[in-house]
Amino acid sequence: MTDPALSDPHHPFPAVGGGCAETLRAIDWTDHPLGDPIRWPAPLKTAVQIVLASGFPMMVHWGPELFTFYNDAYAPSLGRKHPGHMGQPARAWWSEMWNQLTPVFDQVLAGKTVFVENGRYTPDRDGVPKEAFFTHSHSPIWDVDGRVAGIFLVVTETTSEVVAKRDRDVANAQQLLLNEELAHRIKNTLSVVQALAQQTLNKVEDQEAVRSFGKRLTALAAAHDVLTRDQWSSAGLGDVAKGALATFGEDRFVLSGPDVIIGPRATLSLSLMLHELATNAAKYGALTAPDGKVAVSWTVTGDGDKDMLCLSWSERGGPPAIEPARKGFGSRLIRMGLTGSGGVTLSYGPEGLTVEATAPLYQVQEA
Amino acid sequence: MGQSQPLKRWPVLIVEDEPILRIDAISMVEDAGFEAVEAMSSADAVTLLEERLDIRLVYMDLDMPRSRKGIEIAAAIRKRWPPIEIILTAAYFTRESVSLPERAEFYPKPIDRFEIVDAMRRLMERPIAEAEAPAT
Repeated sequence: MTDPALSDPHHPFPAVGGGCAETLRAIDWTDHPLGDPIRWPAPLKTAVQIVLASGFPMMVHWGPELFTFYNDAYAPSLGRKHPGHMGQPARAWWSEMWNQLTPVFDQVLAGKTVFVENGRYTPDRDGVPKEAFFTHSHSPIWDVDGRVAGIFLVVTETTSEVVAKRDRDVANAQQLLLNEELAHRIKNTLSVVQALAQQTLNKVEDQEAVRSFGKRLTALAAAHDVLTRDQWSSAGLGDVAKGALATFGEDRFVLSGPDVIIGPRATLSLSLMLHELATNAAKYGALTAPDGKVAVSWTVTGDGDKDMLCLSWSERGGPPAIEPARKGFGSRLIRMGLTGSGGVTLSYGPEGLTVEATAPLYQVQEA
Repeated sequence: MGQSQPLKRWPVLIVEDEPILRIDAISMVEDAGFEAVEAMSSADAVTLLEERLDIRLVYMDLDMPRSRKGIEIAAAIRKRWPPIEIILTAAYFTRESVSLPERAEFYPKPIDRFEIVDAMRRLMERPIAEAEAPAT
């Protein structure tokens, strides 16, 4: 009666199962509490056979001691426990993380299924407990009498994915920090450019020009600020307008329009354009009068298959607008428009200057 | 003596570790009509303030990586020498992102030098600072 089933050519057990089935067969079950496999309860035999035959990493724990069986697919990630631990109690298997696993086993033995995604464990595979991640499902196995007598485990190791994601998150955070650092360094460099210009040109007679340069540089820096908020990919049109006009007094402007995201190039040209318009308004237009105001509004309109962005600048409450005789760099900056390629009309009316700038939305939004 | 000289060149302390920006700040202070005193770090600044009791205005760059956090130094100056006016600048911060000491003014980089010169003159005209200036 030592091994009739194991040697029975008609009903071998386990029937299939590769190396782990061999390991199981080679065990001397005489002194093992489960005894000869031929006399194992049918549910245990079925469960073990399912596990051994599967190509997916699986394990069975059985009985109060949770005697443990696994398959070839699981073997490589078990380290030094394979093949010696085949048939051993779960406690001998997982002593290094017993406290973490006990609640799982208790729940499953109470009839519940426990599913954990990317759970962190510290299995001892080669002599040292080491962090590893697993997605696993522990579910009950019932004996013939309907009581839970074992646990069925399906598991996949996700350590490389979890670690890769963690590395990626760290790299992204570093990138973010680096971008911010770079943005600040750019602003610092603009300050140095500002100081160099000032000190180089301080004997030049036309100090007004030196000042204009400084202010344009400041407008450029304000555009950088807005762009830095979103990693230099895009900016809200309202934020860009606010940034460009902030130094001229917020209460002098009425901004209105839908949320529109614009690209970095349009952010720079729009900032410089608004800066020039506001500078002119402060010198000759609505901002020279105490009650003068500027309405800045924008709309997006569908034009066939392409949307058009239209931005309008209208000065009211100041002197009549008069077209300047001389068109300098400031005037050219204004005529650059939203994308740097025009689409601007200026109307010098008795009520004040009105400017309309139009461009296809996709051009405004591209990098 | 101060009362008889309305154009007294009061000293202004510049705290700036970037040499080009320091040169520019010195010229701003001189354009505003004051005497420039330089410090290259916040530690130097505190030492100078301890020695020069006539300093009435500090112009400080908050972006000094080798120094203690600039904003903390500014707060310490406000606490230790309440009458001293403070003008701050930075590239690393915006006006919204720093909590300024009381009465301190902030100008983001790159600064508009005319704005700073105006601010220096305006702050130095404050009567409270005049009244609390040390007698000579």
